[in-house]
Amino acid sequence: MGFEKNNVISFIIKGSRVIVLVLLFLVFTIFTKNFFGVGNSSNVVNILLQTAPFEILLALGMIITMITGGIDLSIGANITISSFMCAMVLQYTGNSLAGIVTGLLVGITIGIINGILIAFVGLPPFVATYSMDWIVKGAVLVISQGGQINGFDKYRAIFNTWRGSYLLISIAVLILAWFLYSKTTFGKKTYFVGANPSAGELSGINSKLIVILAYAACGFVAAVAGLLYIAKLGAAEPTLGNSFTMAAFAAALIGGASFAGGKSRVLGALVGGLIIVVLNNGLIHIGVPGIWQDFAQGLVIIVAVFLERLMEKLQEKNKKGNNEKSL
Amino acid sequence: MEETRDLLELKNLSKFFPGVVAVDDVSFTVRSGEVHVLIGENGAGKSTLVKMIAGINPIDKGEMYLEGDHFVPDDVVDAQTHGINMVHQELSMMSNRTVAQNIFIGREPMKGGLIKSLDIKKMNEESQKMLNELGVKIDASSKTSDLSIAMQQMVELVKATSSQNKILILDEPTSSLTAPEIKSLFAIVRKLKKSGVGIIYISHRMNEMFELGDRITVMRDGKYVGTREVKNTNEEEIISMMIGRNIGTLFDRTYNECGEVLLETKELTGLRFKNVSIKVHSGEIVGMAGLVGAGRTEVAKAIFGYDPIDSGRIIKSGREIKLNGHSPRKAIDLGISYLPEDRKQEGLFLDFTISDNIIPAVLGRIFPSGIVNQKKQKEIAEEYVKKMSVATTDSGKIVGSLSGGNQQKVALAKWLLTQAEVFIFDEPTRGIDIGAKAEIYALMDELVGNGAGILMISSEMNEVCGLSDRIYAMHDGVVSGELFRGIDDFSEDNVLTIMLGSGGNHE
Amino acid sequence: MNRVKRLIKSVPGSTWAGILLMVFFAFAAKGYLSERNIMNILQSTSALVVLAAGMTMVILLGEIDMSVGGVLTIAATVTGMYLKLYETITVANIMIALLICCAIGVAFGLLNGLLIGYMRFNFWLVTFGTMSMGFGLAKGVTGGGVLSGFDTMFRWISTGRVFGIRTCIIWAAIICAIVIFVNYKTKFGLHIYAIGDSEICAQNSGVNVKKTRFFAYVLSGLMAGLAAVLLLARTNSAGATLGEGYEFNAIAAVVIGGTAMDGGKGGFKGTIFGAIFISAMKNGLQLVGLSNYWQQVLLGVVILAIILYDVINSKIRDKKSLRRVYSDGI
Repeated sequence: MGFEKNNVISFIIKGSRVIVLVLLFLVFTIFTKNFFGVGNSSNVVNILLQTAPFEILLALGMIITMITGGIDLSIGANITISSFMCAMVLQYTGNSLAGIVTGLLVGITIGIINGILIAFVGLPPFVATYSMDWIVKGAVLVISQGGQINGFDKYRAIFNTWRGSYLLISIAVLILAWFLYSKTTFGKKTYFVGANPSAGELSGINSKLIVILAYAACGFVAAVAGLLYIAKLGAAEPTLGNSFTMAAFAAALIGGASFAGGKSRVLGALVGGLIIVVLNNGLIHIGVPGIWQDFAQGLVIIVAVFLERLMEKLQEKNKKGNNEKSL
Repeated sequence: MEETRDLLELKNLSKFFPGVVAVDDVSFTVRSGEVHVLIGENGAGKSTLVKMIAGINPIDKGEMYLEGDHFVPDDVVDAQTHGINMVHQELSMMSNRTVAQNIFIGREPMKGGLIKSLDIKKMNEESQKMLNELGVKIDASSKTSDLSIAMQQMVELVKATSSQNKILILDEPTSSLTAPEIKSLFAIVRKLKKSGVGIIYISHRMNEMFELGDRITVMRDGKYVGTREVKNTNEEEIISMMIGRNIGTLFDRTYNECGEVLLETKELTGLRFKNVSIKVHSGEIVGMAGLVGAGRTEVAKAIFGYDPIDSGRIIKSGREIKLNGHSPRKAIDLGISYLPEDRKQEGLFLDFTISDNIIPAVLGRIFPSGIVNQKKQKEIAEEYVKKMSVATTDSGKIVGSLSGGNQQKVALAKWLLTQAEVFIFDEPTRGIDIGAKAEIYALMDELVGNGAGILMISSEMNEVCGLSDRIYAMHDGVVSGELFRGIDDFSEDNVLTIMLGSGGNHE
Repeated sequence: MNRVKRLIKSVPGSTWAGILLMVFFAFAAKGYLSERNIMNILQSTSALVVLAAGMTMVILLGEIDMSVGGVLTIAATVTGMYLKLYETITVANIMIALLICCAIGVAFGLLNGLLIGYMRFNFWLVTFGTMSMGFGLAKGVTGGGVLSGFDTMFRWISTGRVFGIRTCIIWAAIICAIVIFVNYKTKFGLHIYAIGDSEICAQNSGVNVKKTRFFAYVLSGLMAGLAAVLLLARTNSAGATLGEGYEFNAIAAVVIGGTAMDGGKGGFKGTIFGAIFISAMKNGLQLVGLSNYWQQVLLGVVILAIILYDVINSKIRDKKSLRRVYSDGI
C-alpha cells in the first residue's frame, strides 16, 4: 500500500512542472473566453507559433550554461548584436545566407569570449557575462547610433512563408541540444564538469574546453533566437534584447534549472518556456494589462524558488520513507 | 598533583548519519586537569564524537553531564558559554582579519554610551595579554594571513582558551606542525592542564600520546573500546585495541620479484617540491611518507599532469613523457592513474549514480562512437560493483548515500577500469572502516601481483610501514630518505625520524 | 625609501586608473577640474554612492544584491506619484514622501533578507526576482509613463544649497559618515567581514550569521530607498527606467573601490572612491563629446579590466606565497 503511495508522490514530484503547465492551460481555457480560441486564428496556436519558440530558445541557452554551474547574463545583448549584425550584412549584401552565417558567428564568438573569461581567466560567470552584457549592449548602440535597420524582405520570406517555421527551428535546436547533452559522451562530460570540475579534470576531462563549448552553444542558441526575431519583427533594433536575459532566466528556473551544476535538464527549456508563454498570455486574457508582465515574471521567479524548496522537502521525506522501509 | 575530579561525563552517546552509525553508544568521563587522549583509526568516529560535545553535531541519543549537571549543548555558542571549546583540525580562521579580531569574534568588547562602537584598542590589548600569558610571540594587531600555519594554530588555541574554560578539545593539532612547533604547543597544553582544564586530545601519533597524555580512550568503528591509564599501558596494547585484530593479517602481502621500472621521475621540481627523483617498479608497492604539506600530493599531481612542473623529467616505461599541467587525459592514456586524497572534492561526483562515477575516465574507450549506450554502461558498472564488492547491487544508487568505504571502492573502480600500469593512491584508506581497509589492501596486493606498480601516499604510519616494499620519506618538498624492506629498519619511529628530516638529510 | 615603496605597492590598481583618468581629462576636457565641474561630478555621485553603500555590505558577505536598481525605481515612482497627488506640498508631505521611499526600500530589503538570510535561498535567484519585481511594479503603476515636475520644496532635498554646496552632496556625505561607522566600528560591520571571510568560523564563534545576513540586505534596501529620494529630487522625473543599470554601477563602484567579490576584503571607504571614479569618468567622457553609448561600453570595459587586473594579480600573489612557503622550508 505505502509503496504505491510513494510511487505516486515521486511521480507527481517528477512531473510537477508538466502538471503546472496543464493546469494553467486548463484554467485559462475554461475561465476565459478567448484564450483557447478557434480556427486559424486560434490564440493557442498563435502563441505556440509566435511567442513560444523564442521563450524556449532563451531558456535553452541559459540552461546549457547552468549545467556547467554557470550562468549567461549576456543572452539579451547577444541576441541584439547577432541579429543586428545579420541585418547589417543583409542591408549591404542582400544575401540572406551571408546574413545568417554572420549572425551565428557573432553569437558563437561572444559565447566563446565569455567561456574563455570564465574557464581560463577564472572570472565568476556572473561577472564575466554581466560585464559582457553591458559592453555588447553599448557596442550595438555605438554601431547603430540608436537607429534601426529594416527592409530585408527576402530574408523574412524564408521564415515567414510557413507559419510553423519558428517553432520547427526552435524545436530542432532543442532536440539537437537534448541529443548532445543527454545522449553523448560530450554531454556526460559536461554534466561531470558541472557537478565537480576538479573531479572532472582529474578524470581526464578537459573541463576548460567543456565550459567554453557550453557558452559557445549558448551563444549559438541566442543567435538563432535573434535571427528569428528580426524575421518576425521586420526590423533590427539596438535595444531588442534588453529584457530577454531576465525572461531567459525566469523560463530556465521555471523549467527546473538549478544553480548547482550538473543538475539542470535540457528539456526543462520546453516546459519552462511554455509555462511562461501560457502564463503571460493567459494573464492578458484574464484582464491583467500587458504592462504588468515584467512584475509577473519577477513574482514567478520568487514563487518558483519557493516551490523548488517545497519539492525538495517532499522528495527528501519520500526518500526517507523508502529508506526506512528497506532497512 | 592537584586533586582531580570528574568534569565531563558522556553516557551512551550515539550519532546516526544516513547509512552509517558514526558514533555508537559511547560512554566515558573526562577529569579536570587531565589530558585525555582520544585515539582510533580514521573513520572511528572521534571527530564526530567531539563535534557532538562541542555542540556542532546534534546528539541523536545519549546524555552528557558537565560537573554533575545534565547538559546537552543546543549549539556551539551554548557549548562555549558553558566552557566547552574546540580547536578544529582544519584551520578555521578569518584570514583577512587581525589576530585580535579572530580571538574576540562573537564577544567583542564595546565602548560608548548610547551609540556603542567596537573597542578595538581594548581588543588588541587583551589579546596581546592572552598571547603573552601563553608565551605566544605574535603581534595581536597583525593580519592573520601573514602568520605561518603553526602560528595560526596557536591563535586558535588562544582563542579557545580565552573564555571561561572547562573542557578544551584539540582535534589533531599537530598534524601540520614541525617538531619545534609541536614543542611549544605542548608547553601551552601543559599550562592549561595545570589550571584545571580538562583536555580531550585527538591524535594519531603514539609518541605524542605517551608524552602528553594521562589517559587514553580508544574508539573503533564508532564504538567505545576502552580507556587506559597511560602509565599502565603500552603501544602494543593500544594498537591492538585500535585495530581489533593482529596487524600481521591486515597487511598480509605476497612479495613479488620487482620487474622493470614503470615510472621514474628525474629531478622533478614544481610549485612545492624540488629535485624529486623516484622510481616505481612493476610488482611493488612504494610508500610515500611525510607530513601534511610536505609536497607528496603535489608530486603526484605533477606526475599525473594536473599541476605544472618547472623542470625535471617524467619517464614512463623508458619513454620520456611531456605532461605539463592540464593533461591528466594524456597521463591516463599512457597508463597512469591517480586516486585523489579528497574523494568528496576531487574523486567523486557525489550527486551522481555509482554507474556514472565508474566511467568518467574511460568514456572515449567504452563509447567510441561518442554516443552513450546505457545498457553497456550498466553492464560495466555492475561488473565492477561486484568485483569491488560494493555493498549494494544497484549501480543506479547515488554515490553520496554510500558509506565512506563503499565510496572509496567506487572511486577505485574508476581507475581499475582504465587498466593502468601505474597507480598513484593518495591516502587510499582515509576515513573508511577497517573491513573496507582490509579489502583495499588485498586489492592493492592483487594489483601488484598482476604486474602493476603502486605509489601509495599515506599519513597512516602503520599502513606505510606494513604494506610497502620500499618507502620514500618526504620533508619540506624534498625526498629526505629511501628505505628498503628487509634492509632498513621499517619501524614507525625510524620512518618518522627520516620523514621529519632530522636524520639522513639529503641537503 | 622602503616605506615609500610599500606605500606604492599597497595602492590598488583602480587608484592608479583613477589618477591617470584625472590627468587625462584635465588635459583633454576643458574645464574638467573647474570647481563647478567637480561639484557636478560629486552631485551625480550622490545617489550612486548611497546605493553602493548597501551593496558594499552585501558584497562583503560574498554575495550580491541585484535588486537595488529595481528597488530604487519602484521607491522613486511611488513617491513621485504620491507627490503628484498634491497641488502644493507641505513639510508634512515631504516627510511622508521620505517615509514612503524608505519603507518601500526596507520592504524589499526585508523580503530579500528573509529569503536569503533566514531561508537560505540562493541570493542570485532571490535578488534577480525582486529586481524584476521592482522594475515590473514601477512599469505597472506608472503605466509606462514618466512623472516629472515636482514641487521645488521637495526638490530642495537635492538641489538646494547650504553654504554654497548642493544639498544632495551634503546628504550623501552624512549617509557616508554613518555607513563608515557601521562598516568599521560596529559589531554588525565586523560580523559581516567575519561571514564573508569564513562563514564556518563565524558560525562556530557564535556570530548570528542569519541575523547579520538579514540586516545586510535590509540595509541595502534602505539605502536604495534613500538613493531614490536623492535621485528623484535631483532629476525631477521618475519612470520605470529610472534605475536601469544602477545595480551595475553600484557593483562597479564597490569592485573598483577594492572590495573583493568573494567577500571579507575591502570596505566602504574604497567604495566612495569607486563611485566618484565612475561619475568622474562619465563626466569626462561627456565633456570630450562621447555619447551615452560610448560611456556604457567604456564603463563595461574598464570594470572588466579592473576585475581582470585584480584576479590575475591575486593569482600571481597566491603562486608567489606558495613559493615563499616552500623556499622558507628548505
